[in-house]
Amino acid sequence: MNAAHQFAEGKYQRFRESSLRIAEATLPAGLKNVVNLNEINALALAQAQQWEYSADRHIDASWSWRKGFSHYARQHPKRFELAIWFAKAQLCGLSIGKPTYSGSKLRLDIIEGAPGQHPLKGKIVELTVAAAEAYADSLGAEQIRIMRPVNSDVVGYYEKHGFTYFSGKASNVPSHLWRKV
Amino acid sequence: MTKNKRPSPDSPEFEQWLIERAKERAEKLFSVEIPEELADVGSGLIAGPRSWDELMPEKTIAEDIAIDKAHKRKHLKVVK
Repeated sequence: MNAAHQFAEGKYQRFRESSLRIAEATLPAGLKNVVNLNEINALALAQAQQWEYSADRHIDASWSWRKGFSHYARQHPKRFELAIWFAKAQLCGLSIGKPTYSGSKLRLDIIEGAPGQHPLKGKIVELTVAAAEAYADSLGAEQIRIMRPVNSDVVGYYEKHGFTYFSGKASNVPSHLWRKV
Repeated sequence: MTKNKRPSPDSPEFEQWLIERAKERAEKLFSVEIPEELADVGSGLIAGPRSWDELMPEKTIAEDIAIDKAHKRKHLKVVK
């Protein structure tokens, strides 16, 4: 890692930590004491590995967090990353993203809830948006984009939260949802 | 300090500004009623690519540029 990369990693690490702390502190009372919003660490990756063996995992998620995340993290010092924990014991969701090339938007590249039933099933979208928008605010980004929503239910869910769906047609314009921060 | 005017990140007001905006957003986010038929969103993949290769900068930078252009086109009105 060269000096510039190391400097960026440290600078954005502070933004990541403070935005997660702020998002966690502003959760509604019913969630505040049971939800932890953390960065993706070795423990999260170990639990996510169990997802790979679940028959309930989405058919499109055939890849591994453990294998892909560290490379993504090395490539993107400005990344957003989120691990959603229930009662500090059960991993319920993971998400990663990064600012767009111009830095004025934050794109969320992967959002995944634990497969099957879990205690935060109905809150993964909201918790991810809360944390991502706090990070976007820290960076000065004015829009968040949810890249490649997997189906129409996901699109409908985000639309309930004021997101606009953009159906991608050209090969380099993937479908996405966006809203102003 | 207004909630919309972003203070300088180095200023003492910055963190308070972040907190106020996060609070306001959380109140709205967590009060939206979600219909029963969407109750399974939150379990399994919600958004993502088919492979990690699609997230490498050589692909995503081109995507970002193309999406920005597509958004701009969408906001332009045809005048006849």
